[in-house]
Amino acid sequence: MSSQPPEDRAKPAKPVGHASPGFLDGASIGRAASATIGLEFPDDEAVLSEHGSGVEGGGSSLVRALRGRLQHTRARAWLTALEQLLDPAQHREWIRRLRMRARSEEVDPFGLDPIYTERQRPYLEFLYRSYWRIAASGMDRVPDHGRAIIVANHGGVLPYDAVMLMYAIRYDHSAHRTARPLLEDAPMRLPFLGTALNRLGCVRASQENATKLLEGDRLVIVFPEGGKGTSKLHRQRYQLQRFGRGGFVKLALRTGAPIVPAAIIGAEEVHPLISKMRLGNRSLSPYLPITPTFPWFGPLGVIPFPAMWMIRFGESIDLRDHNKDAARDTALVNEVNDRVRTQIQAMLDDLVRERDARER
Amino acid sequence: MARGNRERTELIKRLERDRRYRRVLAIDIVRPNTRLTKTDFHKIDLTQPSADAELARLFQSHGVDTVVHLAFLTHPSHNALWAHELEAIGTLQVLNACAACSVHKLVQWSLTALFGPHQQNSFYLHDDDEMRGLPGSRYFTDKLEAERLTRRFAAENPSTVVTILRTAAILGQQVDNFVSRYFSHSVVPTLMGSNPLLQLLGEEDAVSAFKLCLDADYRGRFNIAARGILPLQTIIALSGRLSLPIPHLAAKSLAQLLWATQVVKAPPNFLDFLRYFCIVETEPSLRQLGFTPALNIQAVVRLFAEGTPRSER
Repeated sequence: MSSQPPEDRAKPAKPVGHASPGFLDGASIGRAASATIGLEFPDDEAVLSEHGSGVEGGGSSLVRALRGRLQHTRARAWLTALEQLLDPAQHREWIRRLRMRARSEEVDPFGLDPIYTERQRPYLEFLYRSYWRIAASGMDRVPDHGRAIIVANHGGVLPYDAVMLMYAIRYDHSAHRTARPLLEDAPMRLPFLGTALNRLGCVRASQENATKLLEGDRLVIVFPEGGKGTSKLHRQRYQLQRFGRGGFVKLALRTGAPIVPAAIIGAEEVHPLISKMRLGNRSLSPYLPITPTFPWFGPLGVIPFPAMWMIRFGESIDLRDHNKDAARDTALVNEVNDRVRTQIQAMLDDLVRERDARER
Repeated sequence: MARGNRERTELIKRLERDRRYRRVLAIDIVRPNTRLTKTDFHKIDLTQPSADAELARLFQSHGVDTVVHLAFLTHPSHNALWAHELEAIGTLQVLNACAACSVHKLVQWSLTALFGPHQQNSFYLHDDDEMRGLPGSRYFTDKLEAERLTRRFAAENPSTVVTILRTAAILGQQVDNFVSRYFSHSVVPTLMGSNPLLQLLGEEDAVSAFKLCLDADYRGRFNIAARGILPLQTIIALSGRLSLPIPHLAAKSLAQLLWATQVVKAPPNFLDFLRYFCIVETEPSLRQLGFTPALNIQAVVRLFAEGTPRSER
């Protein structure tokens, strides 16, 4: 290393060719050399051919050697085409184009990929319009702009309700807003599903994430039942579980966002849970769901049941009159929490009755 | 004065160009690979027990007022004991020397990855969040200890301006770290079904951030990353490479094998980086420093992809 005086490398002309062998620090020599190439040699191809006949350049240097001997122009044109075919940079460009078709170059600050979302739209549309025949009402209670927290009941083993609610607000609401569902850990941790949910706009539920989303004046969907909601047995459907610890009320008090209650029926029937089997290894899922079709029919058992869905948004609750310290007032938090829970339960009961009447 | 790895050479080049700096001491175990006019090279091995005394003597004799501490490993090492001596104890040696000569400023390199990839991570971690590192990883434990030592030093020596610059994974044509190695495979192995979001930083911007902290005084800890986040697969796709998804169960033992045989430069617990994200808040830091990275994340990936493959160097 020290045997080579540093000035040597800075000399312009020769060193590129001969500097390579015999150095300890291969990578940075390459760097020194490439820096010189850019400055001193307008024709860097010539330099590269003598310098970098490395692993990937093997094919192209063969082409170059051949071209020197060929006079015929057509043969030379063929060779140029061949050279392009062999060029690793060209390969990378092809791969890049191919792989970037299904994804955007830019995701939003919370991981939503617009192109991916757009590509999933036909499938979601099929589920929304044809399969579950979702009827949404009270859509005007979702504000057109500004922050808001949509509080909904949760069910159905997999978070279909989150995705459908998101779809409803994106395509059926007059302002076409993108609501961001906050989901419990279990689905977000699953391979494939967790990633897909995040690219569609779902975010892992946490006070920090929710606060940041709301501070950006976004629409947030919370499921205060959390994992207890999705793991409800079929006979417990539409009976709201404990509403967490009132996290969404504190959130609303702190950020001044109105609370919009929402009731969803249908989601709790798409995977009717008969029983839950406890698993030894809980790293993937807290339990193994047992439904009439799963796991008996293998992958076919994952097909959701085509229940009829209804979504209804209720009268919103504005807590902006309270000051920010009110988030620490547990009595107030519990009171609002209970009020929202009762309101959603009442809407659920109404919807179930309505649907039964319609089906009769 | 600078010490350490690849970024060091770039920083020295910039300091050489800047007339405001009269003299630069490069302290390392290998001579920096660039032409030096006002830079003196001194060989001090931080893993030697007497390094702090040597450093202090050198600082005293040259009247050093600013120290840049870059002597950190860019790859996890199999030699965990030596790595600990270099990173944790080495930092202690530097801090001792700084305290003995009461230097004006200390700028230390750290990583945003020290927050660690965890399932529970929220978006945009900041200083109130715990730096959890990676459980069972000596590489991160040592770096965390180095940062802790420096924070304690900052509290005990209020007269010294202590700047800790935490960079996101640095990517570029010239850098060589475990992230750039990973992304330069022509077929990049990933975990099947996992596609975490990542932050990156261009190499030029990393050097610029250090230069900025040398030019003016900034106290505290700063997180630096290029604007934007991207999913892992998008980064691989943008750089024109294929990915090879490996099932989780196979990945663990495969990574174990590849690490043990020294084929790859990252131990098996680094697989968590391919699974969970670790995204930090850079907004307040960039505002305080008045610094805007020149490249956004897409530009960083493009520039990296255009570079010559490592095999040709």
